[in-house]
Amino acid sequence: MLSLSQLLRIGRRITLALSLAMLCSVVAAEELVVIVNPGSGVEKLSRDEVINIFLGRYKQFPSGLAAQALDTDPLKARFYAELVNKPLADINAYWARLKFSGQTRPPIQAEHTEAALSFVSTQTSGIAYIERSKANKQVRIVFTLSPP
Amino acid sequence: MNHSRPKHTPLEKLSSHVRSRLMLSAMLSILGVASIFGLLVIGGSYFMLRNNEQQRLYQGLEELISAVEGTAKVAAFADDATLAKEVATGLFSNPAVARVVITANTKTLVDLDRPNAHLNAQASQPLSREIKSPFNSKEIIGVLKLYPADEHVRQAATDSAQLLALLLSLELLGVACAVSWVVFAKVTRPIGSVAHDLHALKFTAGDMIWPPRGNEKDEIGQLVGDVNMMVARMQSLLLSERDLRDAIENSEEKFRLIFENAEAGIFTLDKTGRLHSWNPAMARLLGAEHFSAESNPALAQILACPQEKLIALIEQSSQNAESVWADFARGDIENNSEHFHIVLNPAGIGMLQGVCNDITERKRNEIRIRNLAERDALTGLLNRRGFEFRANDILSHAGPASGLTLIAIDLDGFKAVNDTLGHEAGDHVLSEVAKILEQSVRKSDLIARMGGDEFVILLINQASAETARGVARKILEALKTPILVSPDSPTHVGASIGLALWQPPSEALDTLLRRADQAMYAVKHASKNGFLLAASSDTI
Repeated sequence: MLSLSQLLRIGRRITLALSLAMLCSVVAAEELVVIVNPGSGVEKLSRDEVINIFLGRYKQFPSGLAAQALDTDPLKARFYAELVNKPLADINAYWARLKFSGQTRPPIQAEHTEAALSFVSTQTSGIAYIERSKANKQVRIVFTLSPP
Repeated sequence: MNHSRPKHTPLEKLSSHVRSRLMLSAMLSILGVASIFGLLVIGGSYFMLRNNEQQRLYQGLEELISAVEGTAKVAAFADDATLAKEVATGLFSNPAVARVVITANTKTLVDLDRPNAHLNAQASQPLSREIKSPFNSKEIIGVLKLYPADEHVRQAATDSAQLLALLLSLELLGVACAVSWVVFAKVTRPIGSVAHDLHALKFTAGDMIWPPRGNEKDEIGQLVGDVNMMVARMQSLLLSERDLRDAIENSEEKFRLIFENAEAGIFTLDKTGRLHSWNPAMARLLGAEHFSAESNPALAQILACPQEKLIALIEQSSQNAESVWADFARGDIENNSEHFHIVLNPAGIGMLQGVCNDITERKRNEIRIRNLAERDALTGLLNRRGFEFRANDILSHAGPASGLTLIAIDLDGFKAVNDTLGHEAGDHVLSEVAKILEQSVRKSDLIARMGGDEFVILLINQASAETARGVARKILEALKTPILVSPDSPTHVGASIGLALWQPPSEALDTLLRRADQAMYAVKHASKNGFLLAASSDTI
């Protein structure tokens, strides 16, 4: 015979699992992850570090190694929405300002996920973002984006 | 009568306005008040305006910073000096910005001074804005410092404040002028014109002042109306006063006529007998020479009477408060004596009023009439009536020692003279005889012509029969001389004389006369031209 508290605990777990499953069903796609070259020496990156790198503030990894960001076109909007909660238009406006009058360069623009993979796996400075399931052994996941 | 609105020439109007002190003082007052008020308000507000403007400008700078904040965020986040410089340069488009410093993570991205700025644009206190991360509003990634060009801000504020002050001043001036004009047009000018008209008012009949145009219905019009009413009333008062004066003058003239032209003398007198006023008749009656010298001539002196007589009369009138009169004679009793009838009435305190009439003529008439009654016209001697009147009077007052003697005289041969030489000759003889008789006795004795050629004499205060005989002899002697009737016809008359001594104490006159007559007849029937004394005991 289960006690009341036991029953409540079980109930709570079931609710949690169901909601997670529901969330997952709502969000059709997978999580996005930020990947770097394994040889970069970067193990983990904080959210702020990711922001700084992708938005041109930092041009190097914390280790001092140069960093070159890459945007993947299909995932770009979602990435920035999840990263800084800003629409793509704002990001474009941001880069428009810097491109016009500044010396900071925006990330490289790629059309496919495969480009991101190949870029990061071949360049130690590379940093990009892909769906988790797409990540292979040639890249290291350093940050996971959680949906807002 | 002036009923038309008086026309002022423009020059008259202008000069009167310039001279109008009310208008000038009103305008000066308005301008003065406006100036003081303006100085206070504008002076006070100037500083307030300037400070406000400064605040506004600084506020504007804050807004300016807000405008570039987004770009500054980007520049700071990206650590991009070029973009930061662009931000700074953009900020300099506002002349109030002197210097811009943008720091990102303690690193100065840009520190720019305004190009061509004044050297003393050192700001005390820069406007500071924290630059937040564009992607994380909680993270402060830098600071934007904006140094305002205080000099410029001050100048801009001053300019603005000055402009406002100027506008306010102009407005105040305009309002002051407008108020001045309105006060002038609505108040001082109408009042001035009313005052001017009133000043020129001549107060002749029908003269009036006009209300200024447009003011007919308001207080000024009412004032004018009231003034006109007052003027009309004053004019009518003047007219009635003039009429009154005329009436008084007429009345006075009437009394003056009476007073001046009265035949009788009218005068006022004080209790000491001094004249205070008199009419011309007084001077005429009493002699103008008495009235010229002194201001208060003494009446007693003028009348040549004793002062006591006049004073007594005055006292009698005053004490009894009644009208009194007395006759006063002036001059010789015998020739040209004047007689005045004075009536006195009490008149006021200490004064009497009197009337003086010349009764000389009346008195003379009285005498004449009495003479006519009492005297013989031809000889001037008493006639029978006059003699009897007087003799009776004497006899009634006579005492035993009076010594009265009656002499009866009848002329002898008179009839013959009358018949032969005529009545005129007879009259002349009678006149001469009368003269002889008068010369034979004293003035106090009575002589009378009893009728025809009969005469009587009453000797008064002559003691004796002997005196009487002496008189008779004198008469007879005098008659001896012929009387010249005409130059060449001497006539001669004699006289038969009878004497009678009055018998005291109370012999009647007719008894005395009879006795004397009897004695006279005795002489006439006897020898004629002689005398006889009647016996004392003779009776009829």
